[in-house]
Amino acid sequence: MIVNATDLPVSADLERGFGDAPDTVAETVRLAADAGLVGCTIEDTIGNRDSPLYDFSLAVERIAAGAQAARALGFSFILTARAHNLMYANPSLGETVNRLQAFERAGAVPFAPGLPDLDAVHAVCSALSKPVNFMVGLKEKSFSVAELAGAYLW
Amino acid sequence: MKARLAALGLCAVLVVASLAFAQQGKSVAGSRSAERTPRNDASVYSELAKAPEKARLRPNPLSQDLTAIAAGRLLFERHCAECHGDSAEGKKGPSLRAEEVQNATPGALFWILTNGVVRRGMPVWSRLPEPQRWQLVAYIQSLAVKNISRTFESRVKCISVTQKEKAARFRALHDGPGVFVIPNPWDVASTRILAGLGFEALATSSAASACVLGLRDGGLTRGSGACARAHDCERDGLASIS
Repeated sequence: MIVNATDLPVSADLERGFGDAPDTVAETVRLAADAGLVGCTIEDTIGNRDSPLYDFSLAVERIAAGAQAARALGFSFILTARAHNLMYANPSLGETVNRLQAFERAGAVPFAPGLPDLDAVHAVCSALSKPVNFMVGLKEKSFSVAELAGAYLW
Repeated sequence: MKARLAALGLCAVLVVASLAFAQQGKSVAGSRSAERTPRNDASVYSELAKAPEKARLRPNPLSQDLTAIAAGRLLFERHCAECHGDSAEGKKGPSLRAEEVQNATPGALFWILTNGVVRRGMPVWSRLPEPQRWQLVAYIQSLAVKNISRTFESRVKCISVTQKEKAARFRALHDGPGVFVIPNPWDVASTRILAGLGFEALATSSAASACVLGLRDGGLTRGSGACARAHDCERDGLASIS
């Protein structure tokens, strides 16, 4: 109903793509396009507290499958890949950057919610060539548009 | 999807209401010798035909204003419900859900509001500013089932841009210089409001989409492709977006 209520492009937060397998992610991307969306996000979280993230290689395979499905659609569908390790215990910015670089190589727009400060925003933007998503709303980890634009341009 | 169900529910209520009215009209017709109050005297509606042609053909200048119906409803509750009933079903005054009223032109209703039908007890409402009278007209004409569905349809099917064009715009936003801000709507109303504020693209939030359905973040499921179109899967993450 959101897609059909506006002339604006809409991208949907589709969590982990409603399944573990890369093929499931690909199918989710196709269904998203069928639903009228022009983009979606897929994340690397399993939804399991003890082992919250897919391991590196499966996380990348899943995004690669989604990106391939997106490229096959016949129009420019933007797949945004979310690395969520900063949202859990023992966050490592190095691991975040590694995952985002692999997601970017797989053909997705990179996104890591929970970057702790503007230095981290700058580090992530510098390590990537595609535009980077930043999520505003997390307490003490939200910055103004001007601050974010500044961190990108450092 | 929930909104669609809610709208269907609303239509169902209105259908029931108008059937009840039709039955009531029938029983009245069967006992015509009983008292003729304005409520059950069909001739009251002939007043609408007395509007001069020029007045009758005036379009409602607020027909594109989505807030007019809501504003008109408040005015109705304040000024009209006492005589026409809380749901405009008729009380001392006639039902405004009747076909005669719903098929009347906005201009004819505006003319009645402006001039009243004093001998039948309808006051002159010219002291209400013109825009408020048009808001009342918009509200009254939103009451019929056919009008509700027309209004709903015109709101939902306002898309003038294809998916390909949307996709190209979204791509251009990513490729362009600077920063763009993509806010999170959770239903049709918030979508319209955010679009009206001038944002260039929208993104759903799984947490918000789940909350709208009374679920925790992570509670949405994809459902099947058929489900995404069939609107019968409450927990369908894609259906709630499309």
